[in-house]
Amino acid sequence: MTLPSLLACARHAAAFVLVVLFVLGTAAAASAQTPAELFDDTRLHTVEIVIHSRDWADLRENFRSNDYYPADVIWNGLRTRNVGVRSRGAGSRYHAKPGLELAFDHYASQQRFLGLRSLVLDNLVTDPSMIREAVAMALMRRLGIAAPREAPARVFVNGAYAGVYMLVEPIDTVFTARHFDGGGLLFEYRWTYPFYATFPGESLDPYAVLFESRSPGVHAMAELYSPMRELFRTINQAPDGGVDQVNRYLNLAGFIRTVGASTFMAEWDGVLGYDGMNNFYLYRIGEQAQLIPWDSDHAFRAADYPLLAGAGENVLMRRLLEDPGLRLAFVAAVTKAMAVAQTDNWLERELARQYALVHDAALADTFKLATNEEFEQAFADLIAFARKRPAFVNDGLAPLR
Amino acid sequence: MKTCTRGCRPRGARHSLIRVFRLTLAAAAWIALVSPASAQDSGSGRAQAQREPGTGVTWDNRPTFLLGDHGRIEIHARLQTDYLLRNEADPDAAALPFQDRLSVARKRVGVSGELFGRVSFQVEGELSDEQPWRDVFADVKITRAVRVRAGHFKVPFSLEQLTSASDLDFVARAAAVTDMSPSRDLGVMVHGRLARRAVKYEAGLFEVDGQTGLWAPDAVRTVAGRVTVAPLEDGKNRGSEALEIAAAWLRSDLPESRAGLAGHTVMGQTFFRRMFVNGTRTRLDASVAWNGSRASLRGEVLRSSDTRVGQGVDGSTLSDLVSTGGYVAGIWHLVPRGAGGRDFPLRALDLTARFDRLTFGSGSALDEAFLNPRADHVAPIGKEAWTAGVNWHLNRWVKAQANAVREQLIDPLALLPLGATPLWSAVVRFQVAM
Repeated sequence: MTLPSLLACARHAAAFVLVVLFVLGTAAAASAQTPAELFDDTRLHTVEIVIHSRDWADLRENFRSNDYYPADVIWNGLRTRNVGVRSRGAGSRYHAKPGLELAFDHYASQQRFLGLRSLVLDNLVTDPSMIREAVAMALMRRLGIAAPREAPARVFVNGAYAGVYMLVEPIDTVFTARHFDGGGLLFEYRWTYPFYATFPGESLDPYAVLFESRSPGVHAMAELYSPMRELFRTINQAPDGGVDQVNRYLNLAGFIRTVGASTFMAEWDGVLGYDGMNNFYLYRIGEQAQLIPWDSDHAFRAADYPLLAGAGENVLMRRLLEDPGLRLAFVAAVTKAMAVAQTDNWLERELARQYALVHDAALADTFKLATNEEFEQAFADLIAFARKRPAFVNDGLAPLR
Repeated sequence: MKTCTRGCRPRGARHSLIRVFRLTLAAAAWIALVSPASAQDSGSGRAQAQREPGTGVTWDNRPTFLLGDHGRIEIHARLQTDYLLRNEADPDAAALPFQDRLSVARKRVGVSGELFGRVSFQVEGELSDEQPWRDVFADVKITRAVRVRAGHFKVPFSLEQLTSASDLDFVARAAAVTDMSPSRDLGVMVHGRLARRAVKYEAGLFEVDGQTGLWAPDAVRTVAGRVTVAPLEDGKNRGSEALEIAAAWLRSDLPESRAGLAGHTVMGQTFFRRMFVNGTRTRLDASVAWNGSRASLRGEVLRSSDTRVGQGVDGSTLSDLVSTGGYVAGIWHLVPRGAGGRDFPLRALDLTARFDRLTFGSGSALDEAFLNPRADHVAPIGKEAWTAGVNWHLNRWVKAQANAVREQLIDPLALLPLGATPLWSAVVRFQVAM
């Protein structure tokens, strides 16, 4: 073997070793990342989106459209390519700071990011404090409710700061597999008109409008919506004293736990929202559905927000409160939420911690709707809520006991 | 085919469809009944018109106005109604009622003619269409070898695309032809025949979509050229149509947009979505057609390449987007046309079969393959289809076609959610054309 050939062999060997080390290093870095780290809310994350400048301009211009655009997403040194990005949201759609969905499986049905099919970047424009959603969901989780994990992040688009967003775990098959038995059907409630759990009728079409199927695959209308029709029929037509029959179609214990927590948190736009039901999913296994809360940007409305706001209009809630046993269960749910929030002053401390986490990034966020003064005032209002709400709730619960 | 099968028509449109279907059948029945006499007359009618150019109105396979020595004008009409038998891609298709299985493929009327021995023309439009105009052109004969055509007409490229829909041997063109060939554009073309009809050439300049004007500086233009060689003689020392070999080249401007080629199933579902492109599109086509008395064979291969300057997510230039496709088709003339003077109700009967393939990919295979519209290495996605059919010519105007299609997606990386199961579809078409 000649010297040049020996040198060539050595170069190839060195290159091979470098490649192996690089691959092993990359694999180790990737395997070290987990969804728990992504939703670690003790730190402010950084998410970078690399998207064609024309696509970003199109997305912002057509922010009401759900069209997807290809992008690379970088988090924690991990670059994920082939990601579908779209504008998202209902009332929170905003051209300057669009809410975003990062769909990792949009262009390749099997592609995942840390096991996730997608990730929501909440633009927080409807919440001047930017932390209501995260704190509300954190309290839900402390109560054992299946609620999405969240973490704040600074988002950069093509190297330019795009503002503070909240990373939100989407409600999808990955989420339901983590919390429930598999094989169920998932529905996202779509606010269409003020709906108060009245009976929409025999036709399945109105149910399809209100409850969008989010289950993969093709399902017949009857499979999707016949149990939904029976749920609302039972809510409205069960005999007096027989409202517990609803439990066949809706897990009432879970419903009461979630509504109880929302009641303590003065949720203005939830199941008992100011304009009918809103912001929840239903996950149905067999006939019985589970309620999953979503989007609490309007939690902590006011310390003196009425305890039973919306309960009178909502048929289900009204009938639950008419049943002595279920009414006591609701009182217990509100009480428990309040107790968890007060234990070690958790709610106030959590609000302060989340505020400190996003503070500097929020002030630098020039795309947010609120001014910096409004941001500071919103936080002060939240602290006042944490201090005053328990007394107001205690007073309000007394007649219900 | 692209039959609409799910909730895509308002109720009024359904009734209209049924009326069109009935109209098709009624027209077919009427023409079939009167056809024996008129069919016998028609052959001699043309000869007579050529011998004695008179004036007036006559029936020469269609209403014809004779202008004496000045020429002739013919009225054309074409009606095609499809009935969906099967569509496995749509789980609800099996339960579709009769009216939702019907669709009108074409509903056209037109005028063509010759004037002064040198000018021919054609004006054809689709009824009830947002963009009704199809062929609208004039063709001037300078010499036998040089003719000039100007107007809105088919860009000379693919053999099957250039074949009129009413003369196709299948209900739908091959996917590669449908998805890769240009259709009609506004332009000017020089064409003619050379070497005693052994060579035919077409070369033209077209404006894509006709938005700005052919000569405008910012016009999006296509340059196209096609040469057809007929190597066999027809007995009169001229090129014969028995064997034709053709090649075509086409180059188009490609402004920055999401306008890459898309792939569709025969029922119109998109299996490959458009990609972002920027630069030029170059297309090549080669075809062979052998037309025997008892059988015919045709084959065609197509290739398209789109440049993608600055279309990466980070603004980088991507590798070319490459599409390839083709088909091989065989037609067995079980009852050949004109055999033994047969006419209504069996002027001719053909059995047909075709295999076609269409694939998409990119010039680069170095990186990980993706399907997003800005992927550098585009994942290989394609479709293969087998089609079998029967063409029943009741007379020279009425034809019924039945096609069964088995389609299989090519997705080696399993990126599409559509699955790998072959899908069957079947359609019957009724056509009245004169």
